[in-house]
Amino acid sequence: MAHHDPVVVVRNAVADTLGRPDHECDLGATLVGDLGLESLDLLDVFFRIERRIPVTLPLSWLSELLQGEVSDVDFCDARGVLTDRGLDRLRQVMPQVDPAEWSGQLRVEHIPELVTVGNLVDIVRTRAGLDPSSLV
Amino acid sequence: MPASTPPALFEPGPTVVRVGSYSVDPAKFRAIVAQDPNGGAALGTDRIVDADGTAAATEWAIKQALLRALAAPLRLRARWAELAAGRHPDGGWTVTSRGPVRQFHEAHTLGHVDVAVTEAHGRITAYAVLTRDSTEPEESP
Repeated sequence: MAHHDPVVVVRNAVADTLGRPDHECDLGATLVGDLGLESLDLLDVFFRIERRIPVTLPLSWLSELLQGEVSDVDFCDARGVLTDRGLDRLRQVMPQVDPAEWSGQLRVEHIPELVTVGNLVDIVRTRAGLDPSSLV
Repeated sequence: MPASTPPALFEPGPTVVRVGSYSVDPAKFRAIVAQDPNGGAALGTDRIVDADGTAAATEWAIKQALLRALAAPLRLRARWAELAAGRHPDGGWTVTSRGPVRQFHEAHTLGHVDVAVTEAHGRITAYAVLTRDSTEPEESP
């Protein structure tokens, strides 16, 4: 039975979307800022991952993962800027996010700009954790 | 259609609360829909009725612009299937919501949303302008 390494799968999907070699997709690189993807391209990456391994990445599930148990009114303010609590939650899924650095500044629509290749690997692992057989 | 210009805040009348915008390349949108293993369902569209995907891409951009104008929380940002974009008989764009997005709009957002769409350099940009009626001019801080 084929073994699916999430690191290989994600880097390959990102590289294919970009039209670049896999080795340019470092785990620490942000998909939008460093690698030049648009937020819409993230969907392309997700679809490519779903076509490679038996895992689904519904965006509704991803949104729930990122926001966690934090309520809507506690996650961001009326301007759509993440609260400190929202940032603390986001850091649990995206450890590179420094709440002190982003306090009062990060809008919800800018979250995709901070997603790294490594974050995506972890997300795939988390999703696959619902069905471990998908990665073995 | 030219983009709407938000009214000056110092004039009596509708007050612009927030403007959400979203820009998309219709050719790229079409290509991504083709990648969706579920045939475009993930983007809330199961059709590309025009050759270059302009209509579906425009509707997508309008929905994203609206979600930004509403400052919707993260949990609602993926619920674009609960939005529907359409055209007025006069050619203008409208967008309606249902479900949790509508509930959020009614509970947390006061005001009216107007939508405008522009096309330039191969990209479609949608603007959603959230305004709140005001009968008094804004006071200086």
